Amino acid sequence: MAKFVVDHMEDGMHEWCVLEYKHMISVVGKENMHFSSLSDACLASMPEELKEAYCHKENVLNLPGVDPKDVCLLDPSATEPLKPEDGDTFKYFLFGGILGDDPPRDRTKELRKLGFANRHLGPVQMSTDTAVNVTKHVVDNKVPLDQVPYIDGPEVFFSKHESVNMPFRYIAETKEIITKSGEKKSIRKPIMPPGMLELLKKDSEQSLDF
Amino acid sequence: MAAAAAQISKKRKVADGVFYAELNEFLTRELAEDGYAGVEVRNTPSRTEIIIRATHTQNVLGEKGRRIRELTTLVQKRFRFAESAVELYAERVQNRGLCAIAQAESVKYKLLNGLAVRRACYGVVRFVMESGAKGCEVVVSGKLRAARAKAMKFGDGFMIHSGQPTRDFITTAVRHVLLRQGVLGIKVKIMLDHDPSGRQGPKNPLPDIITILEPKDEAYISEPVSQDFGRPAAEPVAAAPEVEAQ
Repeated sequence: MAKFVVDHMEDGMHEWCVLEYKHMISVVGKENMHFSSLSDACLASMPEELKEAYCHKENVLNLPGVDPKDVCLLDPSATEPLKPEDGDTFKYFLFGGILGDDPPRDRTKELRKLGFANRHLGPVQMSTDTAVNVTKHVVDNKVPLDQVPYIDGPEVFFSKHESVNMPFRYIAETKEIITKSGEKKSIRKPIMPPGMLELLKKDSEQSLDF
Repeated sequence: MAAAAAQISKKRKVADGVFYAELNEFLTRELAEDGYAGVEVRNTPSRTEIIIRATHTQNVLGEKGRRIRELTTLVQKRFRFAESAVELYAERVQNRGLCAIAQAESVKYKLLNGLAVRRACYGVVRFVMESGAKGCEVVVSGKLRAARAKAMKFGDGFMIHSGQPTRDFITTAVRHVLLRQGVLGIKVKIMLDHDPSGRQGPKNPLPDIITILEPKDEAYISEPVSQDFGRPAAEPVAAAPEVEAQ
């Protein structure tokens, strides 16, 4: 079973990060999940479910019992894609805990500088929990990268007047629904952490800070 | 007409375009807070007239016309016009609710003044629809603090996306809001209603609108009547049926 390490690179434990990290734990299991570079303030404000995984204050080079040669960084600018065989070569898979920009600002370079082997997950940026989920499918379930079902840039509708477009790649799940006219239809929906829709709605109530 | 057009050489046309572009850009930055909505340049033999369209013309004119005189001097010095060869006029935009540029600036200033994104955008959408637009869409894209990048869309009414009618019916404006972390993009799209008088919208309706006229009232016929259809009113045309009858 591969182990997953997320290096927390944001300046606080934001609600968005909490939802994504909780989702990751539910996908891979708390014994396979490590969080590194957590400041004291973050550790204090983390909810209990997150503390059940391995939480470290140190940065990823100094994690106890982790040999840098066994670590593979998932980096959008790597030259090689992730393959199922990489699950045998590497024991730990490292992700930047970044709330990303569009177009991406390449904040992963902070981790790239540390000299790990790297692989990419495709050309479109993913949210951190999607990246962990895709990596799990590739290295644990041995599904090739291009056979995972994706949905790019989904639009989430809150009402007839309001919607939010997320410019990232998500894993798609097919669901059977019954439309208003009573016929069965199968639709593809992005897999997002539970509670994300409410958070997206709340984000529109924020004002800008300078 | 063709001769007059040929006399304006290509070089002159390009120079006119560059002049308009620089003027527009300068006025957009200078008069952003006064609801600047566009400029028109009229070339007459004696002088060049520049008409500035804005929502708050009072601010453009300034105290006793001071600001507009300053702008005139600036334009004159920059483009090397002779004294009093250039004149600036300010014109008020009728119905700023239908001007996408003015509304995009309005969203920008609301956000910069600390209003929540949803309140700012819904406010603008409601104002635009009340001003008589057929549809409106406001998109705010970018990364807010403690969140991922996303595009938030707020809309109401009817919107078309393709074809020539988009050029006739839709006005768009894009503005940037510079934040510490990056840039937020604001896009406002307004779909105008068709206005036969041509002032607040295009004169022609959408090509796929069909108006079915009410049938005319028929007069009640009490006894058989015969009507001669072969003889229209005018004399010369009366000759034609006779020719046909032969």
